[in-house]
Amino acid sequence: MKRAVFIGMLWLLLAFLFAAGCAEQAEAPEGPKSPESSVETLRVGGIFALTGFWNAAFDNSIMKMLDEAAIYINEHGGIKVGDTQYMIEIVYEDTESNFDGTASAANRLVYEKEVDFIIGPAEHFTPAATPVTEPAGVLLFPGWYNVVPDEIDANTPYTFGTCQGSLPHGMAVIKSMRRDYPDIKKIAFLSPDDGAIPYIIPHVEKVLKEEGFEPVGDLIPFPNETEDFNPFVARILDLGDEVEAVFVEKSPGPAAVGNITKGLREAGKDYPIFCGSPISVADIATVAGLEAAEGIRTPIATRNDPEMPPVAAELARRITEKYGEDFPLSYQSAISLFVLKEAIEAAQSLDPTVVRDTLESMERIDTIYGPGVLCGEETFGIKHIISHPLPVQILKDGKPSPGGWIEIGYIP
Amino acid sequence: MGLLFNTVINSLILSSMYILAALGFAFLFNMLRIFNLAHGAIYMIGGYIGYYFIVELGMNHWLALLLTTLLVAAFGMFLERFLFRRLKGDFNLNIMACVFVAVILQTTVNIIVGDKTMAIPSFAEGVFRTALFSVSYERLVTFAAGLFLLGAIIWFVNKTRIGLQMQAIAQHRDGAILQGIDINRVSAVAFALGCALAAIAGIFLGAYLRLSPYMGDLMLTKVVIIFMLAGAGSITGILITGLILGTLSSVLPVFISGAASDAVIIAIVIIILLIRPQGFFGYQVEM
Repeated sequence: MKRAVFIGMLWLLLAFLFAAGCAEQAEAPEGPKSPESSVETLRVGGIFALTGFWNAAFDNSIMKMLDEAAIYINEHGGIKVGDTQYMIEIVYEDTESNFDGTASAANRLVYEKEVDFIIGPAEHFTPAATPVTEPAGVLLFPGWYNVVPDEIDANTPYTFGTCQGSLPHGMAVIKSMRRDYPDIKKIAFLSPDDGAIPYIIPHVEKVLKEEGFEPVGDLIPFPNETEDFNPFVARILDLGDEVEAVFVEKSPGPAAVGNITKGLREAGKDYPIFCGSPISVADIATVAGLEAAEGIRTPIATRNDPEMPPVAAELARRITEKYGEDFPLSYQSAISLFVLKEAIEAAQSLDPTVVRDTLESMERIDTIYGPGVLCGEETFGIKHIISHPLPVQILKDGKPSPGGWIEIGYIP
Repeated sequence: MGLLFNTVINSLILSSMYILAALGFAFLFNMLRIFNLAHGAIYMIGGYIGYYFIVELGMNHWLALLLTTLLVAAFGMFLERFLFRRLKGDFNLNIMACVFVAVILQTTVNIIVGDKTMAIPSFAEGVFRTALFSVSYERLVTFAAGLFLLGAIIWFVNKTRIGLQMQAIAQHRDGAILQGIDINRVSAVAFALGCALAAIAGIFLGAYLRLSPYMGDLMLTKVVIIFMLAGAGSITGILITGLILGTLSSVLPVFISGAASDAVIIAIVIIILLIRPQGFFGYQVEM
C-alpha cells in the first residue's frame, strides 16, 4: 500500500513538472537573410533564476525582455561578423535562486554548452559565476551588481557591467530627487542587509554628499526577506522631525518599500520617499496603498514614456502586447545583449578575448537607453562599467508616470 | 511614547497571527504526530484564495474570509482522508507527503501569479490618531480578530465534545480509542481546523503585509519555533511562546541591526532547546 501511494505521488509530481515545463516554450526567432551572407547560430548563455524566490521576484521579467531583445536583434539581421549573420539563441541555465545553483549553471554553460558569452546572473549571484567564467575566458555581463569583490573588479577582466547595478540606480534616483526637491537636505537612509553594505554604501554616501543630502543618524539596515517592516519604520520615526525624506538604497523588493511607506504614512509622515531599486511604483502602491505611495520614485522605465529611446520603446510595446500592461519592463539584461552585439560587430570576431579588448578600447557604446561610456576604474578597480542614462518613475495621481531620464555620466 | 506604543501593537498583532498559525500546526502534531511541513504553504494558499475572492470577485472582506476558511478547511479534510489517513501514521512518509504538498502548492502559485506583487486590500481604512500615537484601523481590526479567534479556539478545544476528544487523543491516543472516540472523525476535524487557522492567518497577514508564493516559508519557520519552544501537547504553551516570539520579532529589529535580529532569535531558541529539549510546557515525544 505504501509503495502504491509513493509511486502514485511520484507520477503526480512528474506529470506536474512535465506540464509546467511544456507551459512555455521559447520562440525560435527567424531573421532576414541577405543573399550573399551565410547564417549561423550564436548561442549566448543566460544564467537566471528559473526556479525559487528570485524567479518570482525579478528574473522572470528580465528573461522575457532578454528573449524579446534576441528576437528583435535576429529580426534585424542578427550579429554581423564578416559575411556571416549570427542569429542569437539564448541558452538558459537555472541559478535555483542560490549561489551553488549559480556556480553549477555557469559550469554547465561553459563546459557542457561551451558558450563564449553569458548574460546574467541578476541580483547578488555574480561572485558565484565569475570563478567559473573568468578562468575559462568567457565574457560575462551580469544582470546586477553591488560593488562586492569578485563581481566586477580587477580580478574579473572578462566581466562587464552596464548601468544595471545598485550604485548607478541609486545615483539616478538621488539626482532625480535633487532635481525635484532642491531644498531637501536631511534624509533617513535604509538598505537591505545582504552582506554588500560595507562595499556599496560608502560609494552611495559619497554620491549623497555630492548631491547635498545628509543622512540623519546611522544607516538603518533591514533583512530584505523579512515579513514585518514595522520595526524599521519605528527606527525611522525615532530619528525625529529632522528627517525631510526617506531613501531606501540597493535592491529592496516592493514588500520592503511598500510596507515601510505604509507604516510611515500611518504615522502621519508625508515626506518624499525614494528608492534605488528598479521596481515599479505600482508594485509599491499595491502593498502600501495608492494614497500612501503617491509621489514615490524608483529608477525604472515607464510604459508610454515619450522620452524613451526607440528600441527600448519597441521592446516595451512587444512585451506589453504579449504579457499585458502590468508586466514589468525589466531591461537589465536586454541592454547587455545589445552591448554584446555592438562589441562583437566592432571586433568582427567571436573570440571573447578579442571582443573584450575591442570593448575596452571603444570610446562610445550605443545602448538602447542612450549613449554609453566606459568608466568605473576608481570605484570598481577596473574600467568595465558602461554608463548610460537611466529612467526614473514617479507615482503621480495614482499612476506610474515618467520622471525623466537621468544622465549618470562618468562613474569614477 | 509613539515608538513604544507602535512596537507594542505590532508585537501583539504578530503574536496573535503566529499563535493562530501555530495552533493549527500543533493540533496536527499533538493528535496525529504529523509534522506538517505543508502548513506554511496552506497559510499562503489561504492568502491567495482570499485575494481572489476580495480583489478578483469583489467580495466583502468578511464574507471572503469565511468562504476561504471553509474552502481551505475542506481541503484539509481532503488531505486527511485521501493522503495522510492512507499513510497510517508513518512519520517518514508523512514528512515526505507534507513536502510534496508544499512544493505542489508553492510551485502552482508561483507559475500562476509569478512575479506579480499582490496584497489584499485593508480590512479597515483610516488611521486612529491621538496626540501620543497613531495606529491604523487595519492593525486594530487584525489584532481584534486575532484575539477573538484565539478565544473561540480555546473555547472550542475546552468546551465542546469534539474539542475534548481532540485533547484526549493528544494526551493518550490508544486510551482515547479504547474509550470509543472515532479517531478518523476527530482527525478530519483537526485537519480542517488546522488548515482553517493557517488560512485565516494568511488572509490577515496578506492584507497587513503582502502576498508572495514564498510567504509560507517564513511563517513555517516561526510556527515551528513556537511549537518547539512550547513543547508537544501544550496549547497554553503555544499562546505564551507565540507572544514571546511575536514580541522578540517586533522589538529586536528596533535595537539590533538588520538580519542580525533573526539570528539572535534563532540563537535564543537553540539555547533554550539545548537546556530544555521538550520545550517549556510539553512532554518528550517518542516517535
